[in-house]
Amino acid sequence: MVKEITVSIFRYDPESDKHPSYQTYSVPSKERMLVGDVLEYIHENLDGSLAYRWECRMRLCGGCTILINGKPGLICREQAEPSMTLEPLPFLPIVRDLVVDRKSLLDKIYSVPPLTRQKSPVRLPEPIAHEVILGLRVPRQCVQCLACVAVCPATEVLTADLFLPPKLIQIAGFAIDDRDTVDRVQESEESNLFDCACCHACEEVCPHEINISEKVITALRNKTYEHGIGRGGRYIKAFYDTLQAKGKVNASGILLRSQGYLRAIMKAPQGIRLIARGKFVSPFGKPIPDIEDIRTIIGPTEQEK
Amino acid sequence: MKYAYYPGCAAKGSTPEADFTTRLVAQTLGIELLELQNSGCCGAKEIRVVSRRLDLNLNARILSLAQGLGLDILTICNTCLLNLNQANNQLKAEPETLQKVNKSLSKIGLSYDGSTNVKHLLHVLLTDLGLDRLKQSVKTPLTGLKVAPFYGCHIVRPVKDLGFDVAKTESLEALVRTLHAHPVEYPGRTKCCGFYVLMPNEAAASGMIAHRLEEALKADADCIVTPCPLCHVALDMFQEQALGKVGIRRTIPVLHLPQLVGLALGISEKNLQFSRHLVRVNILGK
Repeated sequence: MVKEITVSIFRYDPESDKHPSYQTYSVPSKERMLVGDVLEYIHENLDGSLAYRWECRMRLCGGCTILINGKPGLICREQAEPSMTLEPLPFLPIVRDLVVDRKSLLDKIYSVPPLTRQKSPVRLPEPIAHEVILGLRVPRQCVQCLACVAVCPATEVLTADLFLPPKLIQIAGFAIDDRDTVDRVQESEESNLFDCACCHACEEVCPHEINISEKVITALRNKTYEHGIGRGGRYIKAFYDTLQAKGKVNASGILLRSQGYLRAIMKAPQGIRLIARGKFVSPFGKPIPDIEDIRTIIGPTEQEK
Repeated sequence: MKYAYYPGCAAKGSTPEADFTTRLVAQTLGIELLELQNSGCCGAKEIRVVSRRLDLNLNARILSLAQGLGLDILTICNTCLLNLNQANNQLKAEPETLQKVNKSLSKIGLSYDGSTNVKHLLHVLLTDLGLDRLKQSVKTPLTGLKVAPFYGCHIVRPVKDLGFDVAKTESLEALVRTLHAHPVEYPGRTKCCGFYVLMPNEAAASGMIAHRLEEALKADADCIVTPCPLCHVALDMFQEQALGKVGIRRTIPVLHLPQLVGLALGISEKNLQFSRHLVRVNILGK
């Protein structure tokens, strides 16, 4: 007996439907069947009106991302499961069924032009260090499939106008290129670099397994810290200073160091509630007894790679 | 069962009840905890921004202190768990890096050989103690209590660094069932609480906190349980203002994992220190 895949698909045509609905299909299962194969079978054999994108079929165009059982993935990469619900990506206007209008987000990502801005004229030959090339490979794997955007908690609350992981991936690619002349630190600060919640959700769904938290967020934050600018740079410095002073960290110490006495005083009502519940840690408290050990191993001389 | 206990900064500062109840629960279950005194901070997500090497030094120091005791580490903080595991994996995989880090550690009379394992309290309860033994210790079954399991990010992702997929295996749900409570299904269980955005952008963090709380409230949960003190800070300490901003007047208590376990073990409400929470814990008798 041929095994079957049961697939429930989001259907909606904004021009004719009042509401979206879900339609269920049964598709004969084949070995190593991709989600894209399932959709193609439906389109060719069961329902030619189903709309979906499947372009390069080799994980490079980034256009075919949908939600597969609630998780974003490329239909040319993800294996079909016996029971599936397929839905369009969130946050975007629906053109029809699984097809969304990606232009609004792509325009924002491409506001960082995909070119190294060099001094002109470029002097040839143009030496590029091996480690720069290795570093550049990471962000250039991004195909703007928007899977990370669909799961990002910062994008969810800030809207894509303010926080877009693929935009930061683009910026990170240029920030490590010695030839580039744009102020990428400023650019990443303006792209709300420090609103990343460090949750790693983006990495879990990235089809090219880009280590976004380390190679993009931490790398860019490091440049911001080294330039000592912006709220993010001040925050990291305050954390480091608190750790060097006490050997451990506490919110009041970081708040005082990064935002100053005035802002810290504005938090006093919250502080009083915390004191009442024995949850307040004074920024002026004693360091840990082995503080000198901590200072020794995190001092500036220990920073060499 | 004996562990080198590393509670982390949050449990020694903003959420002392997490540290206190972990000790009580461990004592009740026969788990011996030897605290790593003066172990300091793991560097969280911030020190690696200054320099990856400093982050490795801090974590290698903690791993080395446990190695000196010949014990595996038990932590109750998700970020400490991830940081220690990431550092441990890197130090084991890169002998050159380990050599450099040991050069730093030698200045304070320590060295690390890569032999320490790092576990979270949740792992210890699930695998080392085992849910069967935990079940036998339940004195006050939490029958009828609807619990929203909130994992927090750094015990779930990246799986390759943690080596154990707690979310896919529904471990927190299994633990809740062991205590005779009912784990509710809701979309936020492995999403982010926004803790790491609180300091740089409180408004954005507040939005994330509100989303997570709303998801649990919609699922009609009586309380949230989390294995991470940082999630507790976000979801309890900032709950009132986060929900207030989105016009929700209901609240939902947030319990630390050891508090929920302690409740089922028959530890008194006073000893579970619910009075330290900012959101009133009104689940008793449910």
